[in-house]
Amino acid sequence: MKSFTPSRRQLRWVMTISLVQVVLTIALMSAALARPGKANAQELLARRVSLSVTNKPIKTVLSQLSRLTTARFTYSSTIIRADRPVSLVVVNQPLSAVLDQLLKPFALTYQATDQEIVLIRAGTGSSAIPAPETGNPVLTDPASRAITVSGTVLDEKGSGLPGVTVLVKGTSQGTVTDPQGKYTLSVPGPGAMLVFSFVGYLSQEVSVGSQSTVNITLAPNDKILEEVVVVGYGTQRRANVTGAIGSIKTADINNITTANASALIQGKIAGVRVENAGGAPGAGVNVIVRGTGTFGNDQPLYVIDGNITTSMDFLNPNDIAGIEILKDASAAAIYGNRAANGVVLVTTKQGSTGATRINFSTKVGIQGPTNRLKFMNARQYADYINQAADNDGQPRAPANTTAFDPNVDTDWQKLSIGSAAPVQDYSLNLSGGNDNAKFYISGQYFDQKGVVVNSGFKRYNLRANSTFTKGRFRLTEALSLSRAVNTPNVWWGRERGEIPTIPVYNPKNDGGFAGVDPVFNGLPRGINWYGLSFLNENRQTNDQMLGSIGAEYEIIDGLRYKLNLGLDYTVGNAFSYLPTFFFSTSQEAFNNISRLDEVNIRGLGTLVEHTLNYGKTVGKHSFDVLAGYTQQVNEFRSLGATGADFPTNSLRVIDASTVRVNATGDIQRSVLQSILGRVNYNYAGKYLLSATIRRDGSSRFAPQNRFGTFPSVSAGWRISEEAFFPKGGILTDAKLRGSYGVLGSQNIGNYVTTSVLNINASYFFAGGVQPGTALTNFANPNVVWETSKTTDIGTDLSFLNGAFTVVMDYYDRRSEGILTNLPIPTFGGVGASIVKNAATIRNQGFEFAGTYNHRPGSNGLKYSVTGNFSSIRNRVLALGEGVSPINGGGFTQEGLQATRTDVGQAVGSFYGFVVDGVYQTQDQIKADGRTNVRPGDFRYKDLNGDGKLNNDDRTYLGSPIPKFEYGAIFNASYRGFDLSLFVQGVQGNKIWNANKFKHLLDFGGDKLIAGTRAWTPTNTNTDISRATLSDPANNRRSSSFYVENGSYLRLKSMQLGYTLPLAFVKKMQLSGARVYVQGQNLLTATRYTGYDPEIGRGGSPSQAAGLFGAGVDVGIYPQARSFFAGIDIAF
Amino acid sequence: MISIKPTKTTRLAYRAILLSALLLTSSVLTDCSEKALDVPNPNQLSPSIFWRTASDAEKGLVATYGPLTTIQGWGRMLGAILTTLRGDDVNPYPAQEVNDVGTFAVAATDGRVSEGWGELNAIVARANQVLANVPAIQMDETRKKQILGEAYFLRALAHFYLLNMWGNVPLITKPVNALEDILVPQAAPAEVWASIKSDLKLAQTNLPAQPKDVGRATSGAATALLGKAYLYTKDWAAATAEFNKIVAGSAYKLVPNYQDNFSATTNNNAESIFELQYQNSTTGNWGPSGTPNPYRGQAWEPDIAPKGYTSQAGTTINRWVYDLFLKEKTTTGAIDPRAFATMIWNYPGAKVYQDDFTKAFNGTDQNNVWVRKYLNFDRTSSLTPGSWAYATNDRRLIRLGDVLLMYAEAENEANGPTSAAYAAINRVRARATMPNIAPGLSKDAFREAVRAERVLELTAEGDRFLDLLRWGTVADVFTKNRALRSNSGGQFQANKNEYLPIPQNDINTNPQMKQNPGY
Repeated sequence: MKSFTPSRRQLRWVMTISLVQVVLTIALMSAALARPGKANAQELLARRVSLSVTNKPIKTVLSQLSRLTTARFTYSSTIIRADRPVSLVVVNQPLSAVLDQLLKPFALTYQATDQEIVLIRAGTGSSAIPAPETGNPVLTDPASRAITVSGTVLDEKGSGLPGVTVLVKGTSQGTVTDPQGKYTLSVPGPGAMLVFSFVGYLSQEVSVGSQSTVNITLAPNDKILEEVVVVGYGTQRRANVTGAIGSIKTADINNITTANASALIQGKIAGVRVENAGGAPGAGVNVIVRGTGTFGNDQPLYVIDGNITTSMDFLNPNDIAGIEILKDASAAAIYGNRAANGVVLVTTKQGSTGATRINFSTKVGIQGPTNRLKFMNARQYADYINQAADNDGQPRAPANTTAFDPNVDTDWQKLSIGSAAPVQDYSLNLSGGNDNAKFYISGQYFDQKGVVVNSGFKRYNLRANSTFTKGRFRLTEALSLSRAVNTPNVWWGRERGEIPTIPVYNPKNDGGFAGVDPVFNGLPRGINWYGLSFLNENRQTNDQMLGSIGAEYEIIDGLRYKLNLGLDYTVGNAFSYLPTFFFSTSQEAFNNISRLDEVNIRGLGTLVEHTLNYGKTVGKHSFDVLAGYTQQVNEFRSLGATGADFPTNSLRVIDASTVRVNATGDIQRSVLQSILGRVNYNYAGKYLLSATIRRDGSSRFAPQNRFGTFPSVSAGWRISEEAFFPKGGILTDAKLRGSYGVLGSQNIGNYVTTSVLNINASYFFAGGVQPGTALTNFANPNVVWETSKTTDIGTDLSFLNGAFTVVMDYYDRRSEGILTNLPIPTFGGVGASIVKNAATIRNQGFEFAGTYNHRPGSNGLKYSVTGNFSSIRNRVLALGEGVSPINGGGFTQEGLQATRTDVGQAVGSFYGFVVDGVYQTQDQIKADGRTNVRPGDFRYKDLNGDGKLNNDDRTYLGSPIPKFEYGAIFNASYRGFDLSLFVQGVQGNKIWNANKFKHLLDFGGDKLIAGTRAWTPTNTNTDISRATLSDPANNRRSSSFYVENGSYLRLKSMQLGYTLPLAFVKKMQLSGARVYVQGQNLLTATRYTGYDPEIGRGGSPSQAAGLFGAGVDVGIYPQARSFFAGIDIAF
Repeated sequence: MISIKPTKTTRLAYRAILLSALLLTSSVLTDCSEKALDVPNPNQLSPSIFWRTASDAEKGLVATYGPLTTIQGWGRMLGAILTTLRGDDVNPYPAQEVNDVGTFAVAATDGRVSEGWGELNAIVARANQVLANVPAIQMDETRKKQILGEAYFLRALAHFYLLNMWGNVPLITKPVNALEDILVPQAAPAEVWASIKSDLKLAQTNLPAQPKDVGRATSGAATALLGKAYLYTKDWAAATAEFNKIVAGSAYKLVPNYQDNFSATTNNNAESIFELQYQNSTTGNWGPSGTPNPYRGQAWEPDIAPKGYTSQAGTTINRWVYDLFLKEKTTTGAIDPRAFATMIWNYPGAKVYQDDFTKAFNGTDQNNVWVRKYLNFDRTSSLTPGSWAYATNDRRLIRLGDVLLMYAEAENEANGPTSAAYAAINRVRARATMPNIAPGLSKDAFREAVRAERVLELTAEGDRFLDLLRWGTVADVFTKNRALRSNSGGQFQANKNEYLPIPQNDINTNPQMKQNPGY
C-alpha cells in the first residue's frame, strides 16, 4: 500500500528498528504502578530495606529509613539526641528488624501506628543493654576481648556469595561480604553470635567461640516460592503447580480504566488474546485463551469467587484481588465440558484483620479518539463524483455542478467524534475484621461518555464479602449487585455514509436534520445517520446479582467438607425507540411510523457444589485429594414486544402505541450435573503429580450422548531439588512440567438435538394471516460436545534467588468434533444444513512470561518489569466430509465477504483476489480477456494461469490472528513517587480495511482523501482505481486492496503517582493519600490506516461481527486516547 | 439445660450433627437424579405430536402457501429478480450481484437464485407432508379433499416454475424424513411434467370453484395451470381443452380498466384466477417462510422502479417494446392505454410517482422508458410512504387476459387461426379499445400476432423469458440484439443462460446432482 497511510510519517522510526527490538527494550525498561503509601503499620514494618551507614547521626539514619519505607518517625529529644552517631549495615531486612537493631543499644523501642512510628523508652524489665550516653553506640566498648573474625560465605554450589550481611547478633555491628564472599569483622568477644543473612537464603547463626575464621555455606530459602495460586476448587502453592496457569496481580489490574473488567487482562498473560471491539464504552470484549478452537462460542468460562458464569464485565475492577487463567487441560479439566476455551478465575477482595479501613478513590478524565481519517471536503468530493459520473456516462448531479453550494462543507466525522468525552469513576470501600470475622464492602459509580457523540456507559456496583470462622466451621459469603446501562450510538460509522455537500440541519424536516435529495444530489441513498443517532434512542440495562455462600467444616484434621451455593440472577432490558422523522425521500431516510422494541430477559442460575478435600503429608509424601458433586441449572426467560405508531414521539412505552405488532418470548433452560475428582501428589517437593477427572451430564444432548468424561494428568519435576543440581548459581529454582488432558465445550445452545416444527410458516389470505406449521430444518440427535486435547510442556525458572522468574510453555491443542454446519441440498425443503461434530482445529503456541524485581537499593529506587510474549499457529485441520469452506466477514450491504475458513488455513483467514496494479491501456485489458473493464480499473493476478479471471483466482491474503503478541509492565517507585508503564502489541496479523470500500469504491458517503489520487488518463501513476459509481469492472470485489498490516505497538497506559507525606496527610485527618495522573493509549505505532488497529470482532450492527468477521474493519468505533487525574484517600 | 462435658465422643457427635445439617440443606437444594437432565424444549412443537387433527391439516397446508409471498418467493426473488428481469422486455442496470440474474452474469453461488429455488422447494416439501399425512387424519371428508387438492395444486405450481426456470430438477413426491430421501438425482423433465399434470388433474377434481378463503387455489386455477402445462409441452389440443373451460365459462371476466390488474385497491378482481396475497407489514422481518412475521409485501418494486426512486440501480423498458406499443393506435386514435399502465416515458404530463417526469430525471435519463407496471404511484417513490416492503398490490399469477392469449395461441397451433382463436385475442384487445387484429391471417402470421399481443398485455409480468424459452427463440433474441442489455452490457450465452444455475450448495452436497450446462 504505497503512501496510503496518513500516519506513516510518525511511524517511520518503528520501521527502522525492528519491532522486536523495540519491544524487548521497552520490556526491560518499562513499568506499572506500585502503590506505596497506603500501607498499615504491619505492612510498613514488614517493608524490607537495605542500608549502610557509618557514624551518621541517628536523625539522618531515621530520615533515610523514612524515605525508604515512607514511615514517619516521631521522637522526643528527651529520649535520644538526634545527633547520636550510629553505624548500621542491613541488607533487605524488615523495617522492624532494622529498628530493633538500631534502637536496642539506646534502650529504646517503638510503637507503630499506620504510617507513624513513635520512638519510646523500652519498658522496665527490658533486657536491652543500656547504651552509653556518649560515643558510638555500636562500635563502643572496644573490650580487650574483642577479636577479629574473618571467613568466606559460600552458596549451595560452593561459590563465594557476595553481599551477604554478617552481623553480630543483638547489635547493629556488621559488614557485608565482598565479591568473593569474604568478610572480616570485629566482634565483642568469643560469646558473640554471627548472623549471616542474604535474600533468598536461610539465615544462619554461628557462635564465634575461639575461632578466628568462620566459613559457612548458606542454604537457599524456598519461602520465596510460597506464592499461592488459585486453582479450580482450591488453591495451590505456585511451586507445586504442574499445569499452565497465568496470574495477574492486583497492582497490575487497575492500570487500565475501562468499563469492561475483562479488558484488564489484555497484554498481561502470555497466550491470552483480548480483542477490544473498538473503543465504545461498554462494548463487548473477546477473550481468547490459546487460540480459537471452535466455530462457535470461543469465550472462556468465568468463575468468580467459585460462581460459574459467562462474563466478568459486571465487576468493579477495584474489587478484584487476583485473576488466574487456567490455560492447559491439566489446570482446566476440573471444569470438564465447559473448559475447552480456558477458564478465568476471579477472586474478589476480602477484609483483613485489624482496624477498619476506609478507602475512597476517585478518577476523572477526558477522552478523544486515537485517530481520525482524512476525508475529502465538499469541493473535492463534488469533483470526484463528477469524475465518476463522467466515467459512468451518467449525468452529473446538480448539487455537484450547477447548484454546488460553496457554503456547505460538512465534516461528518468531526461532528461525530469532535469533542472530548468525560469519564468519572468513584469508589469507596470499607474493610476490616478480626480473627473470627472479616468483611469487605465496596461501592462504585462509573460513568463513561463515548468519544462518539450519543454514546455512553454507566455502571453501579455494590459488593459485600465476608468470612466467619468458628472452630472447625467456616462460612464465606460474596455478594455482588451491579447495574450497567449502555447507551450505544448504533449508527456510528454510518454517518460517514453522509456526503459533505449537504448541510447537517434542516429545521423544516421532522426531526430537524437535513438529508440527501436523491435527484439533486445524484445518490439513491443517503440518510442523515448523524441526525438519526440523536433521534433513535437505544439503551441496554443489565442488572445482575451474583452471590455465593460457602460453608466449610473440617471433619477431622485435613479433611474438609464444603457446601457451596451460588446464585446468578440477571435482569436485562433492551430498549429501542425509533421516532418518526424525515430526512429525504431516499431509502430508509424517513420513517412515518414510530416504533418501539423492548425485550426483557430474566436469567436465574443456581449452583450447588459439594466438595470433600483431604490433605496429608506422611514423611516425604504429600497428597491432596478432592472429590465433588455439582449441579448447575440455568434458565433464561425472555419477553419482548414491539409497538408502532405512537401518538407523539415523547410517549415511549408500549402502552402508548396504537399498533402492537409483535411479541416474542422464550425459555432457555439447561442443567449440568457433574462429579469431579483430583489427586495432587508430591514426593519431597521434588516429583509432582496431578490427575483430574470430571464427568459431566448435560441436558443439551440427547440421552444416549449425555455424559462425557474429561480426564487430565500432569507431572512436574523440580530439578532444583535434586542433589546434583548446582547450588548457588544464578539459576536458583527450576521446574519442568508436562500435562495432557481432554476438555469439552458444550457451547452449542439448548434444544439443538431435537427436530421441531416451525409454527411461523403462516400465510396471509385476504381474510387475514392464518397460522402454518412446517418442518423447516433437521436436527441431528447425535450432536455432542466439542472436545479439545491439549499437550503442554512447560518450565518455571527462577534466577538470582527469585529476582528474575521465567515461565515458558509450549502447547499443542487439537480441538476435535467441532460443530459445523454440514450443508444439505436445499431442494429437500428442510433447510440448507444440519449441525454435525466434524471439524478439527489445531492451535500450537509458545508462551514466555518473565518478571524481574529489582530489590530496593540504598537509594530507595524500586522497580519491576513483567513481560510476556506468545506466538500462535492456528490451523483448521479438517472441516468434515462434505463441509464447504466457511465464508464470513461480510463487509458490504451486498454481502461481499472478507474471510474464508478452510482446511490448512487459520480460522477466518482473509480471502480474495490479488490486485496487480491498475490497467493503463485497453490492450492490457484485452490481453487479460476481461470484459466491462476500462483503463483505471484494477488488474488482478491470474493466479491459476488459465488466462481467465474468475473465482479460481482467489487466494488467502493473510490472517487476522497475530503471529505473536506481547505485553510488558514496568513499575517503579522512588521516594513518594511511583510510575507505571504498560505497553502491548501484536505482530503479523492483517486487517481488512473495509473503510476503503465504503469511502472509495462504494457509492454514497464521503470519500477518503486518497480518492483524489484516483486513476485518470492524466494521473496514471497510482494504485487507486478510477472513480466510478456503477463499477462495471467490479473493482470492489474482495481483494488484497483492502488488506493491510495490522501490527501495532501501543503505550497502553502510563501512570505517575505521588504519595503525600504523612505529616501533611495527618493534618488533614487522613491516614494516607495519593494523587496520580494517568494516560491511556498515548502512543501507537502502526502502519494501519483505519481508525485503530484494535479491531476485534466488533463489526457494525449488521456486518462483520462474530468469529468469522474478526479483523474486518467496517469502521470500528475508535479507541479513546484518555487522560485521567485521580486521588486515593485512606481514612 | 443439660450440661455435657465435652468429650471426644460428644465432639464427634457434634461434628456429625453439623455435617448432616449441611448435607440435609444441600439435598433440599439439589435434585440429584439424572431426570433433571431431561429438559424438553418448552418453546417449540415436536413433530411427533403433529398431524393428528383437522387443525393440524389446515396448518400444514397454510405452511405450504407460506413461501409464495415471502421476499425469497414472489415477494421479490420470484417476483422480479429471477423472472421479470430476465425478459427481453426490460433492461436492468447492473447493481452489484442484485441484478446478476437479469444481466446474465449469474453464477451458481448467487444467493438470489438459491433463495428462489429454496422457497419453491419448500412448497414441494410441505405439500408432500400434507399429501402423505392428511389422508389418515379423521376430519370432515369434504374439507380433507380440498386440502389435498390445494396441496396438489401448490406442488404442481412449484414444480412448474422449478422445471421451467432450472430445467433439470429432482422430483420428490414423498415427505423427507432422512437425509437419504434428498440425495436423489435429477429427474427427466418429462417425468416432472407428468407429475405436474397429474397433480393438477387431481387438484382440478378436488378443488371447489369458490375457495374457502380468497387466495386459496380453486378448480379454475388448477385448470388454467393445467392448460399452461399442456401449452408448455406443446400438447395443443389438451391445452385448448383446458383453457376453453375458462374462456367459455363465466367465472372470470376481463376488468374494464386494464390498470386494475396491478393496483392494490382492485385486488382479487373478476379477472384474477390465481393471485398471491400480499400483506402490509410495517415491522416484519426479512426471511423465508418460517420466519416469525416475515415481510409479505410486494417487495420487488424497487427492483424495477426508475433510477432515483429505488435503492437498486433501476430498470428500463426496452425501446422495441415502446415502439410496439406506439405502432398501433386505439379505435379512437389514441395510444394503447396499456402503454401507460406498463411504461413511463417522456410524454406530456408524465409522472414518476408524484413527480413530473422532466423533474424526475436528468440528461439522458429523460430519454429512457421506465417500468410503470406494478408501481404504486400513490407513494412519492418506490420507497414511500413507509418502507419498500409495505405494498399490497397482489401478484396476479394467472389472470384471464393471459389465459385468453394462451388459448388463442394453443388453438392456432392445434387448429389454425380459427374464429375461436380470433375471438380470444380480440377480447383482450377490445378491453384496451384496440381494434381487432386483421382477419384472414396465416397460421404463422396469427402466431406472430399473438406473440406481439402477449408483449402488449403482459410486459413486465414475469413470464416473458419463459415464453421465449418455450418458443425456442430466447438465445436468438438476446444474442442478436445486444442492446437488450445495454444498461449493463450483459451478454446472454446460448446453451447456458436459458436456465438458471442449480445452486452450488446443492451441487456440492448431492453427488448425484448435475449442474446445468455452462455454469
